[in-house]
Amino acid sequence: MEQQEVVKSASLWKDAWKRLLKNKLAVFGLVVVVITAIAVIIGPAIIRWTTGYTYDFIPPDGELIKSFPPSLKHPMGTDDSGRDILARVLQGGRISLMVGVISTIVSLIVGVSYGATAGYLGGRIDNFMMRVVDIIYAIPYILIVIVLLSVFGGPNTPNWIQSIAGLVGGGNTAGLSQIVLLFFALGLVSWLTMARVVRGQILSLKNQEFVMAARATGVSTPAIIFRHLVPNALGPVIVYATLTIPSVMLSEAFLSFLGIGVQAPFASWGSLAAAGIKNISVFPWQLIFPGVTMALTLFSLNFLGDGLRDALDPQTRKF
Amino acid sequence: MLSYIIRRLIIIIPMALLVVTLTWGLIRMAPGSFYSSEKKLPPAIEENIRKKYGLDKPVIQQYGIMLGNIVRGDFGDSLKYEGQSVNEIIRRHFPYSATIGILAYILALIVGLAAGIIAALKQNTVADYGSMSLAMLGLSVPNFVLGPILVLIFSLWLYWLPPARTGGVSSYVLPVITLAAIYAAYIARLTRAGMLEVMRSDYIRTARAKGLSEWKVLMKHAVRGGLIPVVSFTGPALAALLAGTVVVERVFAIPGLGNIFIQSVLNRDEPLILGIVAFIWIKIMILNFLVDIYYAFFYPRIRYE
Repeated sequence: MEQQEVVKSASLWKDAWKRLLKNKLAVFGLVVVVITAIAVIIGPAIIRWTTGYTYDFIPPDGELIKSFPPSLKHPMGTDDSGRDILARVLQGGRISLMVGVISTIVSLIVGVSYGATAGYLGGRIDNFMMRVVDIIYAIPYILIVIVLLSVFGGPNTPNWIQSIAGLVGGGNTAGLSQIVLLFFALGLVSWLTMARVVRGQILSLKNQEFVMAARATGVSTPAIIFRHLVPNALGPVIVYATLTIPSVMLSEAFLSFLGIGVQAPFASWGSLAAAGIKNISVFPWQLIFPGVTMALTLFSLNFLGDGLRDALDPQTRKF
Repeated sequence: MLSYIIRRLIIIIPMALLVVTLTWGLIRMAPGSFYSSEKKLPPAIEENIRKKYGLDKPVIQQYGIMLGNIVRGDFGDSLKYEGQSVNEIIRRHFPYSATIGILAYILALIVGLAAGIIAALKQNTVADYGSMSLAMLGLSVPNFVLGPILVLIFSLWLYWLPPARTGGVSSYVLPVITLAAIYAAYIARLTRAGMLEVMRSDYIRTARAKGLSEWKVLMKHAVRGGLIPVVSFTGPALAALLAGTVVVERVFAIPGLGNIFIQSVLNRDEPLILGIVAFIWIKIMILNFLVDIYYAFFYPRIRYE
C-alpha cells in the first residue's frame, strides 16, 4: 500500500522562503534593507523632533567655516552650508530608494509585457522585437535619459507625473516633478535585460500542455500571455527585479554625479556624494558618510538578489 | 562557417544605420537647439545660424545629408569646439580612454580569474566567502565613491601616488584600479559559477580518472570550459567602459573621450554625439563579432544557439 499520510504540500513560495532563510548573507541583506527603509521613512521626522534639524535647515549664524566634523550633535557632521548630513542622508535615502523601486516597477511593466509578447508570438515578430532591443542597447542610456528629461521636463511635464510628485512631496510639487520624471526615464532605459529574461522564460514555457489547453478552450492571446505564461515566469522576474534595484540606484547616482540627476535643495545619495567629492581633501566626512551608506545598501540589495536567485531558481544555485 | 561569418557581418550595416538614425532622432526630439542659451538671439542672427548649419532645409534632406556624410566616414566639425573636426577630436581623446580602459580590463581579468578560480576550487571555505564578499563589495561601491576614497588614502594621507594625471606611469595606478574594481568583481563571479559547473561534469571526472594531475585537469580541461561566460562578457564589458571611464576621467582629470561625450550631450553638439556613438558602436560590434568567431571555432556547439 502506498503511504496514506497527509503530507502538507510545501508551496513553491514557502519552499523558496525557507531556502532564503537558510542563506545567512541573504538574511543579512534583507535585514539591512529593511532597517534602511525604516530609517529613511521615519528618520527625518525623529531628527526634526529631537534636534530640530531638517535636510534643508541652514543655521543662521555667519561663521566662516560651517562644515564641522562628526560630533554628538551631528553624528555625520555638517556640509558646506552647515546642514546636518545625517538628516540629508536620510532624506536623500528616500529619493535613492524611491528611484530604485519606482524605476524598477516601470522597467518591470515594460520589460515583462514586451518580452512576453515577443516570446509568445515568436517568429518574425519576435525577431523584429528583439532586434529593436539590440539597437536600443547600443544607444548610450545617458542620451536617452537626457532627451526624456528635456522633452518632458519643465512646462511639458505630463499631469500624471505632477500628481505623483504631489503624492511623494505631500502637495509640494516644485522641483519634485523633475525627480519623478527621472524615475520614469531611468525605468524606461532599464527594461531591456528584463525583456530578454522574460522572453527566454516564455519560449521555454509556451509549448507546454497548459498553454495548449488554454488555447484549445478559446482563451484570448493577451490572456494567455498575462494570466497563464507570465505568472509561471515570475521566479526569474523577481530575481532580476531585485538586481535591477541596485543597478538603477547606481545609474541615478551616476547621473547626479554628472549634475543631470537630482538637483538642490533635494538630495540623493548620489548627489550628496558628488557634492562631497569636491571637498574631499578638507571635509572627507561629506563624501564618506553618504558614500558608505549607499554602498552598504547596494551591497545588501545585491546579496538579497543573489539569495533570491538561489532560493527561487534551484537549478542555478551554487552547488 | 564562412556563411555564418558573412551573415554576421552583413547584419552590422542596417543595424549601424538604425543606431545612427535613432540617435539623430533623439537629439532632434529634444526641444531647443545647440545655439539656444539663456539670452535669446535676434531673429536675423538665428536665421543665419540655421542657414550656416543647414537647419533651414527640410528635415528629410538634413537626415539625408547627415547619413551621406557618415557613410563617407566624415562626421563634420564640432558645433561647440569650433574649427575642430569630430574625427580629430576622437583621434586626440580616445587614446587616453583606451589606455586606462585596456589596462583596467587586463587587471580585472587577472584579479577576477584568480579570485574566481580559487573560490570555485575552495568552495564553501573562508577563501570562497572572502573573495565573493569582496567581489560583491566591488559591485556595490560606486566608482565615483571608490576613486576619491583611494585618492584620500593613497594621495592625501600616505602621499604614495598622485591624485590626478601628471603624465607619469604612477598617475595611472589609481584610475586603473578604480575602473577595474567592478569588472574584476563581475569576472570573479562569472568565473566561479562557470568553474563550479564544469568541475562536476563528466569529462573532468574522466580526466581525473586517467590519472592527470589536478593542476593539469584544471589548466588543460576545466579552465577552457569554465571560462565561456567570461569570454562572452568581454563585449558588454568594453561597452560599459565608456560610461565607466566618464567617472574616472572626471575624478582623475584625464582628458579622455568619455568626458568629451558627456560634454557633447550636454552641449547638444550633434556631429560630435553622432561621431562618438558611431565610433564606440562599431568598436563594440567588432569585438562582439570576434568573440562570436572565437566561439564558432572553439565551441562549435554554441554556434547556432
